[in-house]
Amino acid sequence: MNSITSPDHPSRYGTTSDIKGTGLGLRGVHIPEILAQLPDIPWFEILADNHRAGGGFIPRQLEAIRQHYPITFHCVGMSLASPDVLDMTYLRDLKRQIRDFEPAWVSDHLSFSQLEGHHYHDLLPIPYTEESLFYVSRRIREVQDILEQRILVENVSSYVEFNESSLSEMEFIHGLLSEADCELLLDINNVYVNCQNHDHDAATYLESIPLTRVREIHLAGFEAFPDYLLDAHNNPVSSAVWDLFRQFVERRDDIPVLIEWDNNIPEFSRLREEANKADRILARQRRTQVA
Amino acid sequence: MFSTIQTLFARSLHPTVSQETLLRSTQTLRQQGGLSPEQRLMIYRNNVTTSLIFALKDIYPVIVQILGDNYFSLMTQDYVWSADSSNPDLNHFGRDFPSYLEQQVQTTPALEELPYLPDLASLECAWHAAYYADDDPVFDFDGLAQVAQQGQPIRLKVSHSLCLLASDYPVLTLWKLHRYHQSPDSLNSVAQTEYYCLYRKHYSPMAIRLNQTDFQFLEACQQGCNLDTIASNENMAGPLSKIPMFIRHGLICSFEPE
Ligand SMILES: [Fe+2]
Repeated sequence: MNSITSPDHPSRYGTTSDIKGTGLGLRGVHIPEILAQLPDIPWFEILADNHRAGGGFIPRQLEAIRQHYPITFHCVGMSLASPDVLDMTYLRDLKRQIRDFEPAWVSDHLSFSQLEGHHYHDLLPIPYTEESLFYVSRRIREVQDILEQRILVENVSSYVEFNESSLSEMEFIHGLLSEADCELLLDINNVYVNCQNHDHDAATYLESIPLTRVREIHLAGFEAFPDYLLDAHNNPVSSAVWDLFRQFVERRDDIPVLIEWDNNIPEFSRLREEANKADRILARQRRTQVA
Repeated sequence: MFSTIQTLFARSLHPTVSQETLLRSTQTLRQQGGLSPEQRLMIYRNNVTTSLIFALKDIYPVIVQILGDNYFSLMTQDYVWSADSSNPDLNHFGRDFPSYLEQQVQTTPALEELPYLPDLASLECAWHAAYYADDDPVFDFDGLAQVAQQGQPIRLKVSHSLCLLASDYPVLTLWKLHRYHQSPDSLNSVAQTEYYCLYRKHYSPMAIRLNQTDFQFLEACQQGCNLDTIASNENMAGPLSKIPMFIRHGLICSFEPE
């Protein structure tokens, strides 16, 4: 199985630099501005599902972005925890996208989005049991074999917990990382949302994370409702999530960070402010370490 | 069992779920905090509904303009759950919306005045599909000359992005008016059916009016008729003489020997 770092074969995009520092989730409305000004952003994360078109403007635009920036792929359609059979058409298309755009790595979520042939276009939760752990691990290994690379699996936000669950989310993730040999995309906003929604302690949760297996961090904003937090990606990162991020970088400050903002998308400059804030926190941490 | 719980969960998201399934599903969920298990399920249902309506609004902006954002959201709340959801690509979602709208127009008094909506929706759907369609091959003129020399019958293939539409309403005019935010004076049906084709030229979708015979010719090509069969219809003389133009504009993109 290939390493998930940059491909070692010659790339059509010249040297594919490693993904470092704070990147931004690429959103269509910002692309013209990015291509016109080529801002100094270390990398972009591409929602691969939004760029599946085989022809027309979408792939040409992504090609142009790719000429100037390293990218990663983030997916929502692998349905890693679905009882349905793997969608081979989806995975073949994804493999074509990977071949065409050479992302540094590919990620999807610890959830399912398809059942009985129906696509829900949402990240649906699963009970955490030995049985589901065995099942999802096997499926991730199958996906990795098909894509010929390790993938990153992201912890999702949730609004329910199942009576059947015999493992905590973190126990499940530990099991998954060892059984499926995948990497972790740690979404700190999702950690916070879940801990608020299910009355867990976020700091304790973060401390139990297997540090060496975290390959990428997501930061995003939620929407607060009276009885729960909704992972809406429509707001700036909240101060509570910044605090958790600070707590995390005390333990590891070299993991690439990504700002996600998908709804009520602000000006590109506003997104950059969020990235700058993450970079400042990382820089302060490094200075502290040196001191 | 793990998959049974997931199946119950997913089924209970559908608004048409039976009370019994909903109850069984809520029984698999932990009782916690200020929300009941059913309310927690409804967060997911609402998320799915909202994101699908959002996707529809992106495909049908003119229908949204005509009906108003709120009415559109209300009207599509059930549709998004009954629509074909077999494709993981959200860009394919909502392709059956024009036929749903057709039923709505026939059964909803508030929509009686808007009989042209389904055709307008078909136009928007075709525009969206053309934008995301696969690229066409470059036309192989040398290959065509060779095949023609051998006298082999051929089929002309239309662009991947081509969609042919016919309407008794001036939907193209109407659509353009709405795209440019002008209100049309009258929306009467036209004296004769209007024919259109939508396709993508380079990167931009295009919508053009066709005469009836050109429309029928392209339709026959799209259905896979061979050129000899098409030529045996004497009405087709006009469109046959335009084949070079159809190729130049990218409406016809390749051929295959029979
Ligand atoms: Fe995330």
